[in-house]
Amino acid sequence: MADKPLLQVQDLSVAINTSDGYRDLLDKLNFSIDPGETFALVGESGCGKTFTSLAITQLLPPVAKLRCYSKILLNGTDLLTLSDVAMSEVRGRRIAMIFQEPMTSLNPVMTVGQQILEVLYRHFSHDRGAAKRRAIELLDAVGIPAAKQRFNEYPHQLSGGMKQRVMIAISLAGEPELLIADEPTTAVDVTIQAQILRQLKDLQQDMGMAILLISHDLGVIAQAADRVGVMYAGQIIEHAPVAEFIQAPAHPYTQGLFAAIPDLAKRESLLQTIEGNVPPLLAGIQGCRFANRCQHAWNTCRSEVPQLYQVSSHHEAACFLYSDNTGKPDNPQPSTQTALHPVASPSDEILLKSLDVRVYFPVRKGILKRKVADIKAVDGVSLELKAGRTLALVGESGCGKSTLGKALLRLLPTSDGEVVFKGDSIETMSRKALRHLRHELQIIFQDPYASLDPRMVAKDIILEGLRHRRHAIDDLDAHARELVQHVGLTEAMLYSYPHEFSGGQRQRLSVARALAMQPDVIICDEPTSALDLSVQAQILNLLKSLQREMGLAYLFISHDISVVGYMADDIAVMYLGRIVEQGPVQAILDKPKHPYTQALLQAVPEIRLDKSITEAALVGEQPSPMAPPSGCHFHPRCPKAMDKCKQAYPRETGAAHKVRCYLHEE
Amino acid sequence: MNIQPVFLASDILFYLLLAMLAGFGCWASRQRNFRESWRQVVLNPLALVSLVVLLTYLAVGLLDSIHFQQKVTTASNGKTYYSAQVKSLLDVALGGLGDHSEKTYSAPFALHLYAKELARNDTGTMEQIYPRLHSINPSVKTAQDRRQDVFGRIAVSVIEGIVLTLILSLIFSLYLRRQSALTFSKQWRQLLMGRARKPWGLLLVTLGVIIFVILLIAHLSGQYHMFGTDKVGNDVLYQALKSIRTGLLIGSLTTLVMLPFALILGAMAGYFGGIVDDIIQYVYTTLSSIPGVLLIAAAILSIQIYIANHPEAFTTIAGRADARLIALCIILGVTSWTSLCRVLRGETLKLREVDFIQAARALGVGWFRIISRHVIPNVMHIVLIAIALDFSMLVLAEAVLTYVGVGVDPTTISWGNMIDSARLELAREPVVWWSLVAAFLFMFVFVLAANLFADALREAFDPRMAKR
Repeated sequence: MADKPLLQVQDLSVAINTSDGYRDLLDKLNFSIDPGETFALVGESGCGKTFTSLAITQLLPPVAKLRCYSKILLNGTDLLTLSDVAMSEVRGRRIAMIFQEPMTSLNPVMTVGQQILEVLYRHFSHDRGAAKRRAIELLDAVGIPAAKQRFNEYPHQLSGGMKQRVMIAISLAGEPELLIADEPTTAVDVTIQAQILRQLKDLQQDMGMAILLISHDLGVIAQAADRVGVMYAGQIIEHAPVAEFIQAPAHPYTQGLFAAIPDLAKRESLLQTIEGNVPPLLAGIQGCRFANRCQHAWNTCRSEVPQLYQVSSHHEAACFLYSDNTGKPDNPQPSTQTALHPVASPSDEILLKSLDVRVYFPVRKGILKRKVADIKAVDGVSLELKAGRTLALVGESGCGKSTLGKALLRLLPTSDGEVVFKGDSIETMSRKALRHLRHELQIIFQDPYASLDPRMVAKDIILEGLRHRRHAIDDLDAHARELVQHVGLTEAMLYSYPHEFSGGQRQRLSVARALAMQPDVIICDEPTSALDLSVQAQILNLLKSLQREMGLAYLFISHDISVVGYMADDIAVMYLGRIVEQGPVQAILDKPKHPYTQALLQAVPEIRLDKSITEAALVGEQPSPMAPPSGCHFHPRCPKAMDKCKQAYPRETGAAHKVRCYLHEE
Repeated sequence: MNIQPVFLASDILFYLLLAMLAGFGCWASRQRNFRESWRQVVLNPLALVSLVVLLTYLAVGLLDSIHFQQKVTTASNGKTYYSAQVKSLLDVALGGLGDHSEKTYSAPFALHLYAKELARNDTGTMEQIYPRLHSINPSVKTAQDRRQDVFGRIAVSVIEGIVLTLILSLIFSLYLRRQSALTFSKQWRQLLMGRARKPWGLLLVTLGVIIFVILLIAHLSGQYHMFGTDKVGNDVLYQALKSIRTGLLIGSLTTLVMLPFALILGAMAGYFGGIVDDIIQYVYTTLSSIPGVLLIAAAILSIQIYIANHPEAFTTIAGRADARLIALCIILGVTSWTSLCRVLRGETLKLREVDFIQAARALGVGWFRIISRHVIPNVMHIVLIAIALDFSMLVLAEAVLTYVGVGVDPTTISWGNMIDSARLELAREPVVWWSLVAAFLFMFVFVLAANLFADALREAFDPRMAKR
């Protein structure tokens, strides 16, 4: 460790002007980053992580104001005293940023090369040839193949992972001393995430820059960071080297976060949750901001603001548990793990079955709109979902999992194949029968903000499906009241509009809407991927206990292996419209057979110490479903590909644990 | 009974429109999202002023939409019958300003005609003189008298205006006191000093100005021709005021005609897609590629011929003019729904893929309910903005079309007709400017208020405008 830190943030406070006066969004943040070090800020959405990075680069929106006692020292110079002109010399040159969304952070009308050259010309006095050579060098350095050709391409010609690499190349062009990476891998798939994290680590070693990594993902932090700061409601509440952060988290909030991570091992009990929600930053709170969600909280916590107290030599936490403050309760309630109900009525009835289902979207071109190709979103999928069980559909984005989910509900027409629900084929159903089917087959969507009509109150949303179905339930009001309580909301919320709910509450409302129809099967389309870790645990618990109570069957669509491990009984792994491996959860997670499944599991960042970022498990990205590779779709990326793989798609082998790979064909 | 109410077709439509507006207001006030947005509109000072101005215009228009016929007894045979002349409450309120007319042009506040006339003077010889106007204050003889009289009346209006505004502010503070903890006198003082947190002070000022203008008209219009007279000696102020109803009707009735087309077809095209979308797109693409003026001219000419051939259906002059006005509204509506329809189709296309619509489909909700309960409420903000913006455009369109000769009937008093008839006089020396200026002033205030209000609406309702 160098003796002088590169970046020192002292008492950073940002206030926002509301109608009730100034309210602190960031409250006296203190941290420092040494040269060549990765410091991670971790926290749930809305805790002020992004505002911190904006404050450092001085790109705060005009409504937010820095408090005068804040100091941000870069190599000893206070950035807050610099003029705008001087600051623009710092931005891009000494501090560079990578944003979360690679789709929107590149300018779509400029070539990749031009966007890099722009930075080079701004900060260096290269001549044309030298600048271009340097740009290609940079593209090469971030792992873009055929960098010379890519130099002249436009962003839309690149895949998501490539765009994020270009973004990194642009930010590196100024040879910054500090790179701020704001959720750099949140928008990309796990296999790409592993590649990008690896790349960042390599680049950091080559160029010796410091990285401020901002993330909500504990796995990413565990793999990539050296030191960690945990943020909660605008404050840093824990500060630790990554090893201690993982092994012995000190603050009750951090402990709660780790406990809330779903896992295969925890599947027979409810997850530990942190009750309640992150308080809104503008609320103005007395005492510790976490007090009303904390199991250990006592009177002092509600009246006094805790300072950072030493836990060990480099580890401090803002919690009175580590102070010599008196009045601690003698025995903080031990957190108990709640066991789940036993399965209500195990049965082997197959509720939902798909036989070789295909969903093709025609691509039309020309004046006559002739069909020139098909996008084979779902290309022959056979599944079986049994009563009271959960089948998880796992795969990277674009593999067709959501399309399949919608096709099973007949929200999308299938091109071929058959979906059978309780013995009836839904393709040939009459309108009336289909309406009836709608009651027994429900769906919960990913985005809790888009899935509820903003112009309807909760009660109307819940009862919507029942209104046209007369005589089904006598007392709709009582039914609605029962439902909201069932999903953990209060009756008073029945007359609120969706925008008055938090993300987790909205998702509970979605669950209530689905339950209102008294379904047998619920298709859960990534129900927790838009939620924070602590809220995710609440929703997973809800879904799991409802299943045990009511014998529901779930088709659980997800890309998150840890969630799947907790929820699923069976797993089906999808790649490019086809299921490559299918079987019981234990078998697949412990002994994956298909090379794709193996790679997928390997790419998931694990919260372990013996980490050292795994070698990028897979090269390249998922090809387009418009022109899938010949033979086995996976062979161009497969480390074990044989000649045979290029010719024909492998058959399905195995009984309980099915796999489609030549390696397992006898 | 001395009078008999007359309901012109456009009157009924106007009442209907007001009822719908009130109904929409009631519905919107129950919607929490809408209420919040409306609050934002009303708290925006510029929008508040515009709203008050628009409401004043609306009140004038409403007064002018209550028509009746008077019983007349002929002197010769003692028979009574209802006059063919249809009057409105506004005519009564203006105290017969429209009845007494001069011979021809006269300048604002003039005592004499604008043209010389041959007249016998006191000595009995014929002479070319500027004859004195008939219907002005007879006690005013010279320019000196006039100045005194006019300033006196303005002073009276100012005093009365201030008194009325103060009374209004008292009532207003009484009302506000019920909602806040402040004492009455404190509330009143705050209001008058303009220190209230919400723009109530500004509201009061606006109302005060409007009261003053009304008083001014009341005190001066009977005594002088405030905006002069036109070619046939009609009071220009009277015409400008009567034009308000025409403008309002054109703006709002057209919207009424256009809205169902745009809303239903747009939502259907977007929601169903496929062949329905193709047909609707084809219709509006075709319609919008025909020059609008041509279509309007053709429709208006055929209506005119129809009216001329069926005199039994249109017994009064007012009825005839009214039929043409409605026809103009309909044809304007038919030609102007396409742009809103296109916007709504796009928005629906986007909404169709949103999860809550998908969820509704998964719940087994039928297409009609999805469109009426999910799609339309979620595009309402666009409709509202489009209506407010189109309204002012249509008022201006009336003036242009009438000027070209395919607008309202020449007997209908409208800003377009005023401009049209004033056009030739612009070449005259000295120029006759007052007709044009009056029409311009009234139209300008109206359209400006409508535009400012539309802007405020957009700011409050458009989700893309960042809310801070």
